[in-house]
Amino acid sequence: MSGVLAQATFRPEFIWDNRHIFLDGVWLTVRIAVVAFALATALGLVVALLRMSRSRILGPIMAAYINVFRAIPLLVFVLFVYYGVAIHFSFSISAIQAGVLALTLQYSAWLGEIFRSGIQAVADGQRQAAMSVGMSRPQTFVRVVMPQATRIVTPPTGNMFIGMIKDSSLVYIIGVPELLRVSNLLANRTFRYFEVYLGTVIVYLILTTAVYFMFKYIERRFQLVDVLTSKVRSPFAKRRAARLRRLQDEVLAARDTEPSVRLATE
Amino acid sequence: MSETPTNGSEPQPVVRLRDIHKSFGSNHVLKGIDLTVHKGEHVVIFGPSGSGKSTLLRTVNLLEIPDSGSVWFEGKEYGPGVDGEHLPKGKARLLRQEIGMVFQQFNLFPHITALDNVALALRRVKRIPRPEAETRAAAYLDRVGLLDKLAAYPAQLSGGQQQRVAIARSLVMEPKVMLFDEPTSALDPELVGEVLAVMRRLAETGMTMVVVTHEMGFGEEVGDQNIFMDDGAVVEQGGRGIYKDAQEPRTREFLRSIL
Repeated sequence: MSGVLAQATFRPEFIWDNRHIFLDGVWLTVRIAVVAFALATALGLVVALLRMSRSRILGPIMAAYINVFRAIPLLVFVLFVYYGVAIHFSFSISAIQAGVLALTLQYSAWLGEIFRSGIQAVADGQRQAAMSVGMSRPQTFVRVVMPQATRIVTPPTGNMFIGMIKDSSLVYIIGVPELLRVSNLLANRTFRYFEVYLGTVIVYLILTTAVYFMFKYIERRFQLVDVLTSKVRSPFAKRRAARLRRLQDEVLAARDTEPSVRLATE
Repeated sequence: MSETPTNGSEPQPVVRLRDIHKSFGSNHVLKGIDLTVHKGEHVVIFGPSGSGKSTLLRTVNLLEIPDSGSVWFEGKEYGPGVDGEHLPKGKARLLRQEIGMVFQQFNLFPHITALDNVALALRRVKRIPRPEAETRAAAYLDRVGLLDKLAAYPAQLSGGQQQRVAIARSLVMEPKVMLFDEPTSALDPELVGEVLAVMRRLAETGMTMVVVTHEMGFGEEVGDQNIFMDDGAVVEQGGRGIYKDAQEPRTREFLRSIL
């Protein structure tokens, strides 16, 4: 009886005393999430482009790809990829690799749809304007469509990255010693369930909050600022402003050489 | 193969459209249009909305590929062509480098500055190094009176300013022909004048222009060839007098309705 009571006493220092365990787990969580997200982003872009291709074969195949990977519960999919496929058919991949593969495939489907919507949201007039000055299709995509689509998809992509950090916990089921798995082991060993899972919750909260602010920063970087008229402080903007002022002076100095070509006054 | 003589006195054709047909689904938008644009000529196309005038304009730089008919530009053929004729074929992308276009909705690239909007094609299409491209782009922004706005993004500019940047973006490629697709229709009334002024000056410099517009005053002033289109066909064409004494009842009716 006294033992139960003793365990019911909240000992917050228990979390701090076991910080190395949480740190080991979170380090693996971060690596899995970052690698899987980077791969899913690259694959998602390919999925989006093939999905939009005019090919009568590739379009439907990619539509099916997206539907299949979005339809399976992630936990089931992790088990399927590792035990169902990798172990059963003796592929020599580790549990971590299997977990990353499962996460990558599912997230590439979600991200593919986000990227497609972003690319399609760029007005058609943009493509026409780019083509009207002689740009090729690849140039138009890289210089005109992509930069605008990137702005559009950044907020939902940030949400997906937060989702990836949380969903990476599901690979605990195949024994990958990420944050949730090491938390489970610690809790089962010490019976300090409240302290352990409180620690786990706090660590996830810190991680996802950090990502939230990271994407907020990226979105702020997208703000379009006239370097000549606004008070900008960054050394890059200052150099650019100086360069543009020199350019203006140059043009003003050259004005008199061919006054006939001017089409408007100020 | 008949080459047009170029002995100065004869007007020299730059663009020739022959028997252009275009349908969108069951909608027959262009029903056999012929149009020849000569060097230095200003062609003004007017007519009710849905008459096919924008589609016709977009056929000239092949943003619309005609279903049949010939698009001829400086000795090369770009459309499907006319039966029995075999002209050397050209690439649409190369034609577009020589024909500028200004859109009703400006279509400036919103993610880059006015300067970069004008410099982009110089750098990526003509492969001109950045410092040189920026110098040229700034000079063209100066020509349209926007040298002080070169670091501004499109959203920070008025509609009239945006359209002038768009004109500079086309002119910097030194096109042989400029196409204008209702360039003032999306502008607030008080901003129309500044864009028309630039276009009028451009016409004075001898630029070959094809303009789709509802600004009849512009046609009366600079239009060498004025074309009234309705229902996918040319109803009437003529000189500047067309606005005062049109021959066709449909032209007269249209002009009455918009004045």
